[in-house]
Amino acid sequence: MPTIVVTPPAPDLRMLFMDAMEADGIDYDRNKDGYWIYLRESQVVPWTLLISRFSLIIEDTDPPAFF
Amino acid sequence: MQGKDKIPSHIRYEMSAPVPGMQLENVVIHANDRDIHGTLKSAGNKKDIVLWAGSITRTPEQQRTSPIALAVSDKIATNGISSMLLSYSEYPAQGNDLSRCIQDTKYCVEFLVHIGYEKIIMVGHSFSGAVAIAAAQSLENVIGVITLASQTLGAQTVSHVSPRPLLIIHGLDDQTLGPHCGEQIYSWASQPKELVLIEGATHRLWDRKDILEPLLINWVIDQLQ
Repeated sequence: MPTIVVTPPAPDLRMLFMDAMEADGIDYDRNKDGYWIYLRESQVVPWTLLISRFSLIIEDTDPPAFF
Repeated sequence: MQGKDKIPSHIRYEMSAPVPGMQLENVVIHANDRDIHGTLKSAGNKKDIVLWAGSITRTPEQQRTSPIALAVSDKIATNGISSMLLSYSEYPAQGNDLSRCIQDTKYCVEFLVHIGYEKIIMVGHSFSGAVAIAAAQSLENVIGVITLASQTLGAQTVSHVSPRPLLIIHGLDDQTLGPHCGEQIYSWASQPKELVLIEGATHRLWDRKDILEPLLINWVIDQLQ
């Protein structure tokens, strides 16, 4: 399943956003360029709801990894 | 006043006489290989104290104290809450040596417990945010932690602060350590935790004193009630 990069939601929503991902068991990292979401197949439905709830803007899907 | 009771055995301390009317004492903690300086602002007989890690920077030429620690410690003193403003040993000659500063902070907590404080809230700004997080984990007298514009390096184990409450404060205009640092620490932390992002605040945070000061005062008082 994809890695998705989203623009951070409004500052007053970010804590709620992270709490919601934690509640849904969605793994993520907060990097300088946004939130990197590591989605599993079973999480597509809750993730879709989060996109709507927090008006998320998807910046990239499966970005190249640099090591 | 001088601490001769060797409890814990690796610490001795000296405290200057209080300045009349101010309940302010300079403290030197002699711990193993180092001398740790601080200023203790005693407030009444309560056994609650806020430890401001790294809030005093000492050089041979001058001493600089965090305006946040100065102002908030004055305000909470009216609620009977004391403050200890801590200067790391040999700082900054040693540079930002994380493990040394964590140990300094732990020695300071041992000192505070030894002189009778029971409930401690630890506060750290920037580099000291990570120090506060790391030091608090193994200290049972620490009942809460506040980070101000904290760096992430050294803060990765923040989940061990839980179940004690954690307040993470970061400025949205922080150009030194961007707000993503506070959010990253929040993501690593376990409940109970709270993230406050302050609009118009830079890395100093004090440019939004109007928001920061009441936020800190209210949180500290709430935790110590």
